[in-house]
Amino acid sequence: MSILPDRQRYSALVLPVVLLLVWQVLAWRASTPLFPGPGQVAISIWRLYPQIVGQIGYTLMRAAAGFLVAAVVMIPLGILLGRLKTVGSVLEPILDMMATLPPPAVVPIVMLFAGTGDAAKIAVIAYAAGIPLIMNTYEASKTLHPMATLVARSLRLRRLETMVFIDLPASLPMIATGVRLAVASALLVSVTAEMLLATNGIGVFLQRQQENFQIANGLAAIAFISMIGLIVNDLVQRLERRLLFWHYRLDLHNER
Amino acid sequence: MDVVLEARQLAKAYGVGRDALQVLGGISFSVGKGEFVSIVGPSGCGKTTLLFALAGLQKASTGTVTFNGRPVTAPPRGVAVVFQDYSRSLFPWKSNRDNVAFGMVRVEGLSSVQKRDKAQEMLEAVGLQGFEDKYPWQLSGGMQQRVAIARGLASQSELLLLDEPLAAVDAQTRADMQDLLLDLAMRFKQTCILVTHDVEEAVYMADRVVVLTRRPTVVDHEIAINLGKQRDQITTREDHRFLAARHDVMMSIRSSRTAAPATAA
Repeated sequence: MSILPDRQRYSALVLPVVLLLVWQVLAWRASTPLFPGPGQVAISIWRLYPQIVGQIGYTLMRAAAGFLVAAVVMIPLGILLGRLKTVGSVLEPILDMMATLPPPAVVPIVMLFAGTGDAAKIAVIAYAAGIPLIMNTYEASKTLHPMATLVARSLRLRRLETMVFIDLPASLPMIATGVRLAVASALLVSVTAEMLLATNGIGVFLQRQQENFQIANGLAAIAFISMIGLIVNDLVQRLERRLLFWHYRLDLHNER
Repeated sequence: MDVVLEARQLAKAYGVGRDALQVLGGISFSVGKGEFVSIVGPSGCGKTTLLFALAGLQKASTGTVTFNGRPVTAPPRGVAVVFQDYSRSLFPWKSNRDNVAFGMVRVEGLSSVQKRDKAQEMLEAVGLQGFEDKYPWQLSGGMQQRVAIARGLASQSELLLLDEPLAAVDAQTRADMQDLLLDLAMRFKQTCILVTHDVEEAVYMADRVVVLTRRPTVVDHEIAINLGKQRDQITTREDHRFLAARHDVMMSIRSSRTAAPATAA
C-alpha cells in the first residue's frame, strides 16, 4: 500500500505503537471519561463507523470540489502570470498577502455572498487550496529556462500553444508540490468550514461529540480524518510519481 | 546560385547611451542554395547573437535579414535551429519520437499518423532506430543532439542554423556527428549555416568560411573551401588546401584577438 520499502515501513510503525501504549497506560491511571485511552476510542470507532463514514463522505466531496475549482482556475492563471511578467509583479504582493491570511478568516466575507450552504464551504476550500497552487505554478512558470521559449519560438508556436505544450508540462514538478499542499489544505479547511458553518460533515460530527463531552467519539472521528489524510496523501504521491516519471528520471518499464 | 539567406549591414547593440555594448557592427554576407557555410570568429564576438538574428529569434538593432527574398521578422517557415544546449532544447516529458514529431507542430496538412511516421523516418536517418520510445534523458549527449537534429529536419526545413551543436560532445563523437551532419545536409538538400569556435571544424564542414572580427563585429573576410562535398576525417584534414585554409582563418582570428581594442585611446 505504501511506497516505502518494507524495512522502512516496519520501522515507521515503532513510534506510533509506543505512543499508543503510553497513552493507554496514562488513560488507565486517570480513569475518567474525559481522558479516554485508545481502547475506548477503538470501541467508539466500532460503534460509530457507519455514521462517521457517512459524514466523512460530505466532507470529502466538498474538499474535492473546492480543490478542483482551485486547480482549474489557479493553474492556468499561474502559467499566464508567469508569462505576463509585469501583471505578475503587480499581483505578487497581493498573493503574498493572501497567503498569510488564514482561510477561516474569509468565512464571514464568503457568507455575505454565498450564505452557509455547500457553495460557501466550497468557496472557502477553493480559496485555501488556490493559494499554494497559484504560488507554485506562478513561481515555476516565471523561472522557466529561456531555452524553452527559444525552442518554442523557433518551432513557430503561438503564445497559447507555448503555454499549453511547454510551460505547463515544464512547470509540473513545482505544480505537484502545490497540489500536495493544496490537497492537505482542502481536507483541513473542509473540516474547519463545517465547524464554522455547521450543517453536516465530519467537522460537525466532531464538534457535537466534543460539546457533549463524548471525548472518545471525538477522537474516533479524528482518527478517521487522519486515516483519510494518509490515504489521500499516498494516492497523490503515487499519481505524482506516475505523471512525473520524466522529472524523477524513472524508467517505469524497467522497474516492474 | 539562388540566394537563400542574406544579411545586410546587420548591427546589434545591447543597452543604450554610454553603457551600450555594440556587439555586431554591420555584418553582410549571403548564403546560396545547398551551401554549407561556417561562421567563425574570436570568442565573444557575438556569433550566437548573429545566428539568433538570422533565425528571427532576436531583433537586430539595424540592418536586415532576408530568407528566400522575404524579410525575417520572426522565425520563418523552413528554417530550423539546432541549439548547443541539447539537454534543454529537448523536452524531457516527451519520448524521442514525440520530440521529433513536435518539430512538425506547425506543419499543416499532415495527420498525426503521418507526423509519427515522418518522426520515425528522421530518427532512423540520424541512426537512432530502436530509441524511439526512450526519453532524451536516457541517451548520451551526442545521441540527444541527434534527436534535436532529427526534429529540425522533420520541421520541413530547407535551412539549418547550427549554433555550436557539437561544442558539448566528446571529440570522437564530434567527428562522427560532423560526418553525419554533412551526410544529412546532402540527403535532405539542406542549406546549412554553422556557427562554431572550432576552426578545424569550420573548415572541415564548410564550402565557405565567413571569418568575423572582434567586437564590434564585422565580416573580416570569406574563404572558399574547394575540397568538394565528400570529406574524410583523415585525408581531408591532411590535404594542403585544408591546412592552408585553417592557417588563414587562425591567423586572422589571432590578429583580431591581439589587435588593440578599437575603443582604446
